[in-house]
Amino acid sequence: MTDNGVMLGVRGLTKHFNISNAWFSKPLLLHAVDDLNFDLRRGQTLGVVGESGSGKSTLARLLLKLIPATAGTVTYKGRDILPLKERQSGEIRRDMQMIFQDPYASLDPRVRVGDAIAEPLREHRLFKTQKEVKEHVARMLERVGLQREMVTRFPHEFSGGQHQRINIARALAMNPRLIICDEAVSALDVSVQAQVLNLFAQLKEEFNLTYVFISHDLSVVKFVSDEIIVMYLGEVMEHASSRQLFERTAHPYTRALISAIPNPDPTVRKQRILLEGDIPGAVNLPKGCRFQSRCFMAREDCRDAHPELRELEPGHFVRCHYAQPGIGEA
Amino acid sequence: MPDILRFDNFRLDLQDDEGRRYNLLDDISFTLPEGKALGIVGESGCGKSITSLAVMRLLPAAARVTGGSVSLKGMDLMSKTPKEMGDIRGRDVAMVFQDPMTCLNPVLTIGLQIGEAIRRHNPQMAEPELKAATLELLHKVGIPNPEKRMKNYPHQFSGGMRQRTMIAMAIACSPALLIADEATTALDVTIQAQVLDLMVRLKEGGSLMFITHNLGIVAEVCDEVTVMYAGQIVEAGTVEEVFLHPAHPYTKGLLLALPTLRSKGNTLYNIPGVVPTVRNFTPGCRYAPRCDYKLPVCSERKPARCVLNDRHHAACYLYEEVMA
Repeated sequence: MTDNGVMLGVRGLTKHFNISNAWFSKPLLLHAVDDLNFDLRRGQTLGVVGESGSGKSTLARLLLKLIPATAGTVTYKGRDILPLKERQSGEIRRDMQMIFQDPYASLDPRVRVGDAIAEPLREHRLFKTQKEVKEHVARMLERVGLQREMVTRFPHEFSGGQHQRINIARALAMNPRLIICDEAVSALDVSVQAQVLNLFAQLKEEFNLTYVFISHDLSVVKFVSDEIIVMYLGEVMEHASSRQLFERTAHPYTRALISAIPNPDPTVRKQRILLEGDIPGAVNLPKGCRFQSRCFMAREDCRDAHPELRELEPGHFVRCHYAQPGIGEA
Repeated sequence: MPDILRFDNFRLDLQDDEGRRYNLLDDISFTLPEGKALGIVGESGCGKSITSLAVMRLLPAAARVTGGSVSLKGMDLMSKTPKEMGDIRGRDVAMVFQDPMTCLNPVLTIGLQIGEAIRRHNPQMAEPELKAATLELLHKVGIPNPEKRMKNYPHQFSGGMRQRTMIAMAIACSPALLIADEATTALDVTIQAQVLDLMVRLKEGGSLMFITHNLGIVAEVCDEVTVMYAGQIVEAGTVEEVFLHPAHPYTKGLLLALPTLRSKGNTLYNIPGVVPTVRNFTPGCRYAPRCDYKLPVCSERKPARCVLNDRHHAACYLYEEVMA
């Protein structure tokens, strides 16, 4: 194999949106994703965290070719997929599936659940006969913990957790290699979230799946991921193995995110790092570090010099002039 | 310490279009001592929000109160006239809701809406005083540039700033009790941390009631906690007692199902099934169908409230012998 186990290779991936609304004015660029690089190996889970507006969902859409990239390449099994025409993308469309946040909005209320799952199978002509399609759909429903009799039901007859299971069944039916989950458990209650997270873990084992898991919830991301990318205003702030990121946190933003998570253990009364203000808009970005306006460690030169992503220790990348493992720990 | 809020065997039914009645809140009793923060936790559909709406007397049209009482500062709320309730809301109790965008009027400025909240209970206040009070509130909730910001419309505010505005309106007349119903759920974690910090700081001598599904928030900001499941209180006590020694299987399950920064391994405990809808509540303990420790008696009779110690009680047959 030429891809040495790398499923998804991303190099210099960039997406700028022009949001100026006048015809002849200078383009006003929103930097949704800037110069993103990572390799995702088969069977691994990459977690992507960040607040709203950090570019997480844009990344998901770029990987799936739902929107064109401004620059950069995405290789899938060693093949550059971004220049491919829609006609040539069939295999990739099958192999890469996505699960969205809103379990209700991602199913057509007037289409029976069985048909919703069967539609992509028919579109890609994965089976010869209708009978085979039906059998496959029923098997998939059972696999995600629903009953095969449910194929004739409509979405409104299901709860939120069941909706998300149907969405998983639909993605799984295509026999994908890579699943991109964009806030896939965020709308679920705690007990149902645990059920769905366990299902993801089982399916990963069973079908040797690779996941890109996008979420704003660091504890969920830690639970599922092997590697984690922390994004802020379109840039990677820290990129490390799940363990390094939590045990040897290096970036002040990551530290603040971790400290902001409400801890259900009342004996831990930790010192919280409160970030000032909101995440600014990704237009008219500052010259220096994008995080400096909210950073509790910002110094004079953070305003002028834009930090590059540097390798702090093997496999641990950070974009900060002053980062060091174990930063800001009490 | 006197109780600011007291629920006594409060029962509430929901009536559907055909006139059928379903019991939602089943003998809800709890107290909130003055100056304390109480968390009410449970998943969606457990009756947390309807409990808080009962305090505001903002119950949906389908709700029928069938027994018990709710008293705020010793006043029986269920016997108040709508006009009397209007005077109580804002002055004695105020509420911050989950979605600040649907609570703010998009065509009125922020300053005007806050001013309105102040004026409701201070009708004689003159214009310059009103403006000064509005500015002070905006300043208090940490909105930068209040002078300029009060002329803005809600859409010019970010989610965190809108929630700060809602808090400013809620504390405008210094209510004795502030209810926050999933008030930080829609916010990013860093903004949530700011807003929680703000609410705790503004509490001062007042009392807080936090309605949330987030156990972490309760552990960090509340003194006491009441756990609800399908319209019944399953466990209550001080935060330390309930979180460190959870007694009811539902509370245990909720705590175990939560991925935390400390979770190890790759499987989370999960409670089988989902919270039933009000039409499908079962007799006896409503958690019984999902419970790992279910006994035959559980689906026949509702378990009594078992006192585990003076700071902790749970409604579960597992603790009946403790009582005996």
